[in-house]
Amino acid sequence: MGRNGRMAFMALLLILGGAVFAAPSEVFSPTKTLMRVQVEKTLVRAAPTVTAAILAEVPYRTALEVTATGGGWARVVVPGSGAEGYVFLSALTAGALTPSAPGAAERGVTGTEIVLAGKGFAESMEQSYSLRSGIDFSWVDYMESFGYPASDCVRFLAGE
Amino acid sequence: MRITLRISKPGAFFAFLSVFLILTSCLTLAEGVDTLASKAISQGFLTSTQAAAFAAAAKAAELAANPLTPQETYYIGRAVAARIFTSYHPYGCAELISYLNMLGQGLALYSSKPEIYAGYHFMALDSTEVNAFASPGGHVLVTRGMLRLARSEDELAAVLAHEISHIALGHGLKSVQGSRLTQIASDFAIQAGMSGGSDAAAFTSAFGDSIAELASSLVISGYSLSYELEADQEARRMLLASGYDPRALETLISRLPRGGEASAAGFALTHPDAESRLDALRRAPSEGNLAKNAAKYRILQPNRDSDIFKNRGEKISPASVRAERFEAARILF
Repeated sequence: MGRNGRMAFMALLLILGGAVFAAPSEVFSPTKTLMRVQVEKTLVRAAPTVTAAILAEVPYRTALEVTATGGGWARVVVPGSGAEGYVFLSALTAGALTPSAPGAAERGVTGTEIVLAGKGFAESMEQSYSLRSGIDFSWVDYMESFGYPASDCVRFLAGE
Repeated sequence: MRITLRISKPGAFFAFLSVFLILTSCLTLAEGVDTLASKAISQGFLTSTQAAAFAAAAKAAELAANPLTPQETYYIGRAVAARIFTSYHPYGCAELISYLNMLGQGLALYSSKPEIYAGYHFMALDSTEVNAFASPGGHVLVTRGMLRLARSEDELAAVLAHEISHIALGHGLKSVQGSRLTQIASDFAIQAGMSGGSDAAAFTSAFGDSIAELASSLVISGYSLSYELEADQEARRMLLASGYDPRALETLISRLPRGGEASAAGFALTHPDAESRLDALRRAPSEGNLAKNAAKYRILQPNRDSDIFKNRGEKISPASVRAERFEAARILF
């Protein structure tokens, strides 16, 4: 390899090295898939960090177009606006989320109706269980009343 | 010679079904059977009774593969937690519960499932027994005996991270036999189709039996050793990722009461293998390897959240803040 060749090789190494170090700390793999929200509600954030601005709140079973995934996050298209944002990958599923209730999917034509129907069945099961067994759910409701924004929790953990 | 190919009607239906399902892979098994069954009836392959039986079998197979939705799992978790509250009195000190939830919900962000159906929630139980439970719905219940065992916020974080890991890794429902899960799913299904009456009472009672079994498997039998070890490894990763001392889990386990001690009453039953857990933790990956794993989930970005990163060890000492607030909370244990 001549001198020019060596310099070109060194330049290539520098460029490649620079690209590696300059790369964002989070590498996202592009994809194009539809996934559903599998939590009661999830937040779409402007960046893949819990401290980023909140763009939207999306309810259970909403189908979201996922354009990339990485580091436990999914980049999604915000319903309605077309902008892109980030949700926790664990909040999404590729599954159908069909309630066990037979025919619920057929009866509830829209996603919202299915969600309400599913929740209604589960709630009515809880009510009749509570009524027949005498088991009280008020302490469960009490503990569930303690909920904090993720950004406050990470700052708390960091010692703020 | 005459060869007769005998194909029974149900046999032909299954053959037809196999091809149909391969061609219509977007449909669920039950949806596919429903659509096909109406065609099969119209062409004389099946009677409507046979078709209904096949549809029920297909629904059962689908339930067995994925019996419960996250929403149903959450309601089961609520029922399990409510049932545990019948054996252990809740300790509803709002200041303490607030502290436990801020700490626990923060740690859960570093778990493999930062978001579950209705989130993670934490509560104290008024018992001197050293014990902690996690419901499949995200409810973590810790006795005052266990809280008192912790000597630092790091050790308390270790207890909570271990219980969060049981939830994130789905250990609660995995500990229950598949047939019982299918039973719970069909209880939901049957409840949905009923408006009341004696049948509804019977199925609600069956649901109650399932919940009782699940609660007793958590309170009396506990998890298998392999699930305990898995939760320990995951807890260590979470502690490191969130800036706590991963060795806190080891120091806490080494002080757990052994069988024979009064405070060991429940815990010795549900966590019988402290020595095996300590052995596994001593053989566990180094902190360097753990750090690589910790990077798998990033809930913060170093360049965007520099203020939080800067606070870790530079601007203020997180350890001193944690020590101070732990001492303040400890009075409430």
